[in-house]
Formats: sequence, structure tokens, C-alpha cells
Amino acid sequence: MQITITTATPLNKSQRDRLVAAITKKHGSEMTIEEIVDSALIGGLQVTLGTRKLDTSIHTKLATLQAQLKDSSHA
Amino acid sequence: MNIQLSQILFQIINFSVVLGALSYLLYKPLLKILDERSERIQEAQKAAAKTLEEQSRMEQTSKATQHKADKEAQEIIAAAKTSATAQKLELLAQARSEAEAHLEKVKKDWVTEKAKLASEMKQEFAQAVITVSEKVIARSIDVKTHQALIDDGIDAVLKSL
Repeated sequence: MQITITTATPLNKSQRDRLVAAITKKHGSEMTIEEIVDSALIGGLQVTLGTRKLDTSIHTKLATLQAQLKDSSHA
Repeated sequence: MNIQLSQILFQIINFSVVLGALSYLLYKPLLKILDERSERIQEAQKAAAKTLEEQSRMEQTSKATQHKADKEAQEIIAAAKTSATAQKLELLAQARSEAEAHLEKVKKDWVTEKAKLASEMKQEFAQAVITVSEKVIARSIDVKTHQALIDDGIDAVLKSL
């Protein structure tokens, strides 16, 4: 399984270990992990597990808020 | 003076002969001429009366025709006036209807444009808020906060696994 972890600043060791341990426990050890640092996220992280994507980044939260504001302006 | 009976008799006979001759030669033709003249006069009078009658009849016909023409003209004028009035009212109603429709359209367009402008302003405002928020947040987050955000994100990911 391909796993992509994107953060605004690099993960420290304890964070990486905690995340990898939890994913390994759930999906097994047969996986490839790719770490990407992208300041555009502003803060938080995005984890892509195959086709599944878990996103807690500030950029995505602000984008969601912007979409909600735009939707409310159409109503 | 001797009055002779024979002469008197002769004169009487002579007068009678002359009278008879005059009567035969002059009186009857004169009567005939007078009768003919009288007949011509009567015919002329009849013709004149007939002409007068014809003239009177023609005058009556002319008057009747004139009266009829006047009446028809008045009817035509009245009908034209009525038609013109109806047409005028119809045109006025049509113009009013078109004006109202145009006004309604302008109002509707104005409301639509106003709503569109308001929506665009809200969207631009939202975009500006987000852009400013991104910059402000990006500048205000330090390393410690970054790590805390990543820790919180990891907690959320672990919960959702």
C-alpha cells in the first residue's frame, strides 16, 4: 500500500513512529511511505492511504470555510 | 222711298247665300284651326305639367338621395369616430401594457443585478478573508504550534483509522 504523508513542516521522529505504528497495526507492514513537506498546507497534515485521504490541514479547513461562505452568498 | 218686297227677299237670299258660303268656307276651317290650336295648347300644358311633375319628382329624388347621402356620411363619420376612439384606446392600453412590462423587466433586472452584485461582493469578501487569514495564520504559527497541529492531526488520523 502506498502511503503519502504531507505536512507544512517535517515530522519529528516520535510523530513519524506513532503514525507508522498505527498504520502498520491497521493495514500490515506491506507499505511504502512517502513524506512531503508543503508549506502551502500552513499547518496540520494530510495522509493518503491508497485511495483514502485524511486531511487536517489548515489550508483545507480554510478552503472549506471559503466554500461555505461562497455557498451562503448564493443562497 | 219704295220698299220692294222682291228686293228684300233677294237681299235675304243673297245674305243667306253669303252667310252659308262664309260658314262653309271660313267658319268651319277657323273652328278646326281653333280646335287644333286648343289641342296643341292642351298637349303643351300636359307636357308642361308632366315636365313639372318630372322636375318635382326629380327634386324629391335628389332631396332623398342627398338626405340618404348625408345620413350615410354621418354614419360613416360616426363609425370612423367610434373606430378611431376604439383604436386610440387599444393603442393606449397596448402602450400602457408595454410600458408596465418594460418597467417590470427593469425592476426584475435591477433585483437580479443587485443580487448578483451582492453575491459577487460576498464572494470577493470571502476570498479576501481567506487570503488574509492564510497569511496571518502562516505568519503567526511557530515551530511549536506546527508540531502541536501535526500531533492533533495524527490523533485525528488515528481515530479515523
